[in-house]
Amino acid sequence: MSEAERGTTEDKVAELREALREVIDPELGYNVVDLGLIYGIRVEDGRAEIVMTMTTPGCPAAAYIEEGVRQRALAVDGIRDVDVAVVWMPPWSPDMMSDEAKRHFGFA
Amino acid sequence: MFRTGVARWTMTYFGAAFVSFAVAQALIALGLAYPSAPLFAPWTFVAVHLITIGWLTVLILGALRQFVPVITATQPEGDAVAGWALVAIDIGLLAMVAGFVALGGNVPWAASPWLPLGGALVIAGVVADTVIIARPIWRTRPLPLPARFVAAALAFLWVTVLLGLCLALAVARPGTLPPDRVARLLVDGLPLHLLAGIGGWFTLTAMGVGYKLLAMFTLAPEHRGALGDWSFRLSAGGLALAAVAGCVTIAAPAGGAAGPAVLVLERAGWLAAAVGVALYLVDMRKLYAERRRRELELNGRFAAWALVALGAGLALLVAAALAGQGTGWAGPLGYVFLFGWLSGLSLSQLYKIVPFLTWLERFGSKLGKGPVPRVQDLVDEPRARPWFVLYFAAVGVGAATGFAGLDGAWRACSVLSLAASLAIGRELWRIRHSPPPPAAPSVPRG
Repeated sequence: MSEAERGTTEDKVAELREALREVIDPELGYNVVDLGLIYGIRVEDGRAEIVMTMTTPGCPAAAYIEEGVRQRALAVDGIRDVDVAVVWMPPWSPDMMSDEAKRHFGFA
Repeated sequence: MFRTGVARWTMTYFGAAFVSFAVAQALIALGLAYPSAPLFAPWTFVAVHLITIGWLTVLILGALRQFVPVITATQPEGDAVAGWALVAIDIGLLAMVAGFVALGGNVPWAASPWLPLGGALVIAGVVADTVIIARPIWRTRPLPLPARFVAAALAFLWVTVLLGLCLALAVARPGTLPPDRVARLLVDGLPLHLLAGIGGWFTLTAMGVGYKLLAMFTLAPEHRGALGDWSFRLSAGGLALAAVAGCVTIAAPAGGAAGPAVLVLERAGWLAAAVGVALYLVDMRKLYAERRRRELELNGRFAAWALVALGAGLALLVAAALAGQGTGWAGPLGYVFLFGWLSGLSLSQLYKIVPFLTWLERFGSKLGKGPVPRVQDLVDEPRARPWFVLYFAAVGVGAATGFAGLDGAWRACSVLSLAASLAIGRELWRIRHSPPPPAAPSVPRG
């Protein structure tokens, strides 16, 4: 991959990450990116692979959040296909939140 | 991959439960049931069973339909069974009410067919529900701590309903059993029925649910360590020991006594259970202290009030045992556990669970396609908060007047707790039926 292509891909990952800030965990009322639920994003040839988790296994909102992430990612310009993988390792903890989210919940 | 959905019927269970809660409190407020009537009066039986079966059992079964998949990371199952189970439980409860009313006379029907028939229908519904709730628990062994509490509680539920059926038969058809056996059932079986129901079924479930939900909602660590393990072992094990000893006492040969060893076992069971609940309270205090969400939402704040009621009930229970006031304080003590601890916790958690499930139904499929409100946008905490304060204050003062023997004041407090409950019910109704709130301009973006 050339430097120019790498730069374009990193820009697209950043764009996706920003877009996913519009998807919330409904119970916590905060976006999934700053909650630390998005473990990784990879973009290649218009295909996005998103690895994420939930605050707790068995959460009834899990399917909706996963689908919400997929739908929002698909709406990003240049993304034609999205694969969302929900994983449970490492388990999520509040320490994974961004500093701003930690401040919002009162522990930073 | 674990993706739990929304359990069908859970909201219907909640609605049916709330109606029973309101009717039971109305009977108390109108002076038909205890404390205005004797503890063993027909209308008191009606109120007690509306609270224990119609309100708490139906509410908990409905909640477990949604909660067990959360703790076992499975899909809710048995939707059709759950619907029919609710029908059986509520029709059975109505039949039991008819039977209890007939015990007082002045009605053109007899108690005898209605109590066993109603009890049998309740058992049928409860068995059906517990099977569909217990199956995922059984499949996901070894169980996490909250699921262990729920599994033990389900076992106590069966003990409770079977003892209840025996008591119904003893009351409605006393000729079925020898007279001394009937007397023993009524004297020793009733406390055992209460122990299994309030201690085993309700309290163990509430303890397990509390561990999971309050950790989730307050962002506290879910793993509770040795304190949680010992809380479970002692509370569930102690109650089981006391229940077995109680059953041995009831089953002792006619005219004989169960023996001092059984009495020692029963007391050891009670002591262990009390220590287990005390450890739970210590652990919950630790959970609150360790929480990451510093500003508590309404459900977390008032769950703490319910835990205070549990602590007060436990202390008063120990004091009653030491003072030999077991029977004299039974009414106010039961009130503290049923209204302060169990109903208080239930109301506070409904204020979170109802908007959460409502959000999933109304907005879940819109997530990612545009702005959506948060769960917290569906509630109006400043409007609801005074009613929760009134509820807990009325129950607290009501219990105090009950222990002081001021039955008139206690009844007045029950009018206030009824008013507060109805207002909380109206808030829950608004959450379900109000127009959608503005789409989340308040969603923080980090």
